[in-house]
Formats: sequence, C-alpha cells, structure tokens
Amino acid sequence: MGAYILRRLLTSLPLLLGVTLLLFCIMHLMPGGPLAAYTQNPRVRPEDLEKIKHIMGLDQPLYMQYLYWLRSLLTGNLGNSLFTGQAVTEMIASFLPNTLVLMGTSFIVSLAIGVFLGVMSAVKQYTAFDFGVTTFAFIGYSLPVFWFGVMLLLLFAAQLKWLPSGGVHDLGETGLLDLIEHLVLPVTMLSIVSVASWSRYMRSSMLEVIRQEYVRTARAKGLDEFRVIGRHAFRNALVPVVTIIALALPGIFGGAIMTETIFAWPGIGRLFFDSLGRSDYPVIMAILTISAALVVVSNILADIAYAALDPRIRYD
Amino acid sequence: MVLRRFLKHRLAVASTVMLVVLVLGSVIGPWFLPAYDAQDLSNTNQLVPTLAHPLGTDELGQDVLARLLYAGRISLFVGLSAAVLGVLIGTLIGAITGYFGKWIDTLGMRMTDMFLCIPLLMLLLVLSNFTRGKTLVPFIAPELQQLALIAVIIGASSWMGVARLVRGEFLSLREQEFIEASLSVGGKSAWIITRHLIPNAMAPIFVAATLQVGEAIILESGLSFLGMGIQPPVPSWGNMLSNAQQYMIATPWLAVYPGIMIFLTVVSINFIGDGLRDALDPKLKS
Repeated sequence: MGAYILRRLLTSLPLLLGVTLLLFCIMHLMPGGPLAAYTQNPRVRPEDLEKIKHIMGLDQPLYMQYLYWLRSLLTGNLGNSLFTGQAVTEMIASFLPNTLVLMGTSFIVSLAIGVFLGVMSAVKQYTAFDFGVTTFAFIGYSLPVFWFGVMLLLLFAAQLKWLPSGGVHDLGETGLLDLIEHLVLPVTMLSIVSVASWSRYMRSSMLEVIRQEYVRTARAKGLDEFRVIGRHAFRNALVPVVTIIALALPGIFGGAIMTETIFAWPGIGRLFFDSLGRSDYPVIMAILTISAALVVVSNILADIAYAALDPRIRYD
Repeated sequence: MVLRRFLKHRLAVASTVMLVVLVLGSVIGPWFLPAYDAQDLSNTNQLVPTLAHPLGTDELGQDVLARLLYAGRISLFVGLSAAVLGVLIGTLIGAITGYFGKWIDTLGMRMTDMFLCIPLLMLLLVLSNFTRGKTLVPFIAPELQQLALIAVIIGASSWMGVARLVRGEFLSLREQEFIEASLSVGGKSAWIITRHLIPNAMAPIFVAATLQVGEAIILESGLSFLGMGIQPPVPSWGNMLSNAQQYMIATPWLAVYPGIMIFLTVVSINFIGDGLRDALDPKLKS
C-alpha cells in the first residue's frame, strides 16, 4: 500500500508540472498579460513600464519565466500580489480558513444527508419517500446553483430576515452561534448539488448490495433488519460511493466561487474572483495551481480509499 | 424502433414538448411583444406585473417577458454552439487517441488529464476575463461577438468527457472483425474512422452532446451571472438574475423568473438525454 501511494504521488508530479505549464501559457498568451494592471494606470509612464517589465522578468523568454516561477514555487514563494504588494502565500493563508470552514461544513452536511437519503430510499424502494428523493435528485441535477443561492438570500435574508445575508460574522461578534447563523445559507447552497448526486449514487449502490447473498445470509441468521442494513449492507455499499465523494472535492472548491460571491464570504473563491477583476496574476496563478494540486490529491485519495475499504482490491 | 422506445419514456416526451415550447417562444416570441425603446423614458419605473407587461418591467422600464424570451434565444444559441464545439473537439481527440493508440494515446490522454485538473469554473473565468471585448469572428455585430466568444470558451473547456468516452468506444470497436476486414481490403485510417468507427459510436456521442447542451447553458448563465459572460444590454438569463439581485427588496419577483427559465430548459434537456440514452442504447439502461 505504502509503495502504491508513493508511486501514485511520484507519477502525479509530471501531471501537475504539465498543468502548471498549461496554466502559465494560458495566463501569458492571453491579451492583457501580466502588465495589464499597470498599463491601465495612466500615471505609469512607458519607461516605468519597461522597468517593471525588467524587474518582473517579463523581458525574458517565456520558458525562462516559467522556470523562474517554478523555482520560486519550489522554495514556497508564490510571489507578491500586484494589487496589495502582500506575499501571495500570506494572502492565501488569511483567506483559506474561511473557505475551509465553509467547505468542511458543507462536506459533512452533504455527506450525512446524502448518504442517509440514499440508504433510506433504497431500503424503501418504490415508496413515496423514494419517489420524493428521486424527484429531489433530478431537480438538484438541473438546478442553476447560483439562482438557488440568490433565492435563499431573497427569501431568508431579504424578505423574512431570519438569517444574515452575508459575511462570516456580524460586526463585533466572534461567537460560534453567530458563525453558524452565517453558515446556514451558504452551506445549504453549496450542499444541494452534492446531496442530490450522492444520494443517487448511494441509492443505486445500496440497491445492488441488498440483493447480494451475504445480505440474505445475514437475514437468514435472524439478525434484526437494522443490523442487516447498518452493518452488512451499508458498509459494503459505501465503497463505490467513497470514490465519487473524493472526486467531488474539487467541485466543492470550485463551487465556493459562486457561493462566496453571493454571500460575501471572504474566502479563496472570492479572492480568486476579485483578483481576476484586478488582473492580479501571481494570486490567480497561485490559486489555480493549488486547485489543480487539490484535484490530483483527491484523485489519489479516491483510489486509496477504494483500496482501503475493499479488501478485494490490491494495488501492489 | 428507436423512436418507439423514446416515446415510451414519458418524461422525455413531456420534456421534448416543453423544450419545443421554450424554443419556439424564444425564437418567435419577441416579435409579438412590445419592443424596448431606449428613447422612451415615460415608463422608466419598475412596474408590478400588469396586462400590458405580464411579468412586469425592470428598472429601465424594459418588458421582462420580452427580455426573458430574447435571453432564451441567446442562452439556447450559446449553449447549443458551445456543446457542438465541445463535442467536435472531444470526438476528434478521442477518435485520434483511441484509433492510433501508443504514444499518441498517451499524449492525448495526459493532455485530457491536465485539463481535468483545472476546476472548470476557474478555467472559464480566467479565459473569459482575459478575452473580454476581443473580436473573434470578423464581420458580425459587436454585441454578437461576445456570444461567439463565450460559446468558444465553454466549448474549448468542456471536451474532456466526450474525448474519454469516444476513446473508450474506439478502443473496443477497433478490435472487432469488421475493422479488420476493412483494413484487409486496404481501408485507410481516415476512412475507417469516419465511415466505420464514428457511426458505430454515434449513439453515446449523441447522448453526451444532448446533456452537454444543458451543462453549457448552466455554465453560460453562471458566467453571465458573475458578470464574466454575456454583457448587458444583451440579455441573458444569467445577467438578468444578477441585475435583479440589486433590486431584491423592491422587485423580488424579477430574480425568480430567469432561474425558472434556466431550470425548465436544463431539466427538459436532461430528461431528453435520459430518454435518448434508453432509446438508442438499451444496454446502458440503469
């Protein structure tokens, strides 16, 4: 297992390297280029522009620029923001906790609800409950999530005024209760799609397992239904779903852009979106690289979880 | 046979009817509705729905129903062209990698992996942010340039699924006897790909293409909602929503309509895709 994980990590390095190269090319071949923030400023004279170009290394050939960027990446230096002058690593470190809180809560909520709905609708197949969950899942698939977010905002914050409309805390508040109040709407928005899709996968995986012979054996042994479902069927049905869930992690990260924009949540997604508006290249590039790394890591996690849960699967 | 199987899928049939209504409504609807006159400032109020304006007017006095339908044209056009483009790119890459195999396959699939590593929305935002206002196709009106641009951006970022699908189909088809037969009588690669392999892989490609249209419509409206897609005054369901968001206290209903339009369109496309999958390839039925 250890050897397998190591091998996967090593083979994913070239992939990540390729992605950074691809991103670097996209960012630099685009019209505007990294100097857009300066060229738009009327107070920057052409000779200043040349100087900035030289300082930033933009007068070097593209492959040299990439190598420089890579070298500083390896030393943990992601450059400085063109907008605030702050180190990018510092900026990300200050925005990341908010995103992690949002993503983490949403992940736990979707996991609990999605798996529960899936198991229950499989156990009660073809009942009104199952039909309801299925309908909900189909709605969730086709729902424009950003509209759902705006509707939540409209109903619960603007009209009913039950919940705050945005931000992490009310002014002067730092309590947990206040944080939870602020989390309800964004977490609902971020979870709706994962709940819809995970409940679907859980249902079909569960249906498959329930028909297996060992489940019939468990029943024949006289185990009560709760144990048959909970111990024997559920744990085996979870195996294929774990993969889907691990692969969905980056999607939640991407969905954070919409959620954080709608609910004024100061996290990475928001930082990414704002940096785009300011053509803040180092920040954009850093967030893209981190996201790509996250995708690669969750792919590996999915495979490891699969192997760890199902003893029939051997990778080495 | 295929048609009969499709007709059995009741939701898919109902969705087809709904989609036809939506398409007809967007294509011919705006002709029958009051046009917005930028010079006429007499009705620059946000109006509640009345007989003359069944869905009300927005803050500029524009009839919301007319704009919704006009936005439908835009969204359907962008969604459809983006999906066609994405499927074309995907089929091309999938066909080449699946047919030739060896290093070409490795190269193509690693490239696909690389694109899959970048979260889709981030890639779209980067591309559309840096290409905004650029001329892509000469000789068309500037406000239509952005439609082509968004369609190309979405198409160029969503070909990976189709590429993997086509490659997989090709890998299994390639081993079958009729390909060997064609090779033995001197069939050229291009001939075998276009005459034998693609027609045989058509069913899953077609289903994927249908679902891709729904996906592309959601992506376009999402981009427009964030202000990185279709720019006003050209209406899109996404930018109408983000506009309505500013008047959420005074005219909350304006925020409801665009989402319902997106939802109805995408849900019917998804059900049609489902129905097509069952009809074209009964083996795949889940």
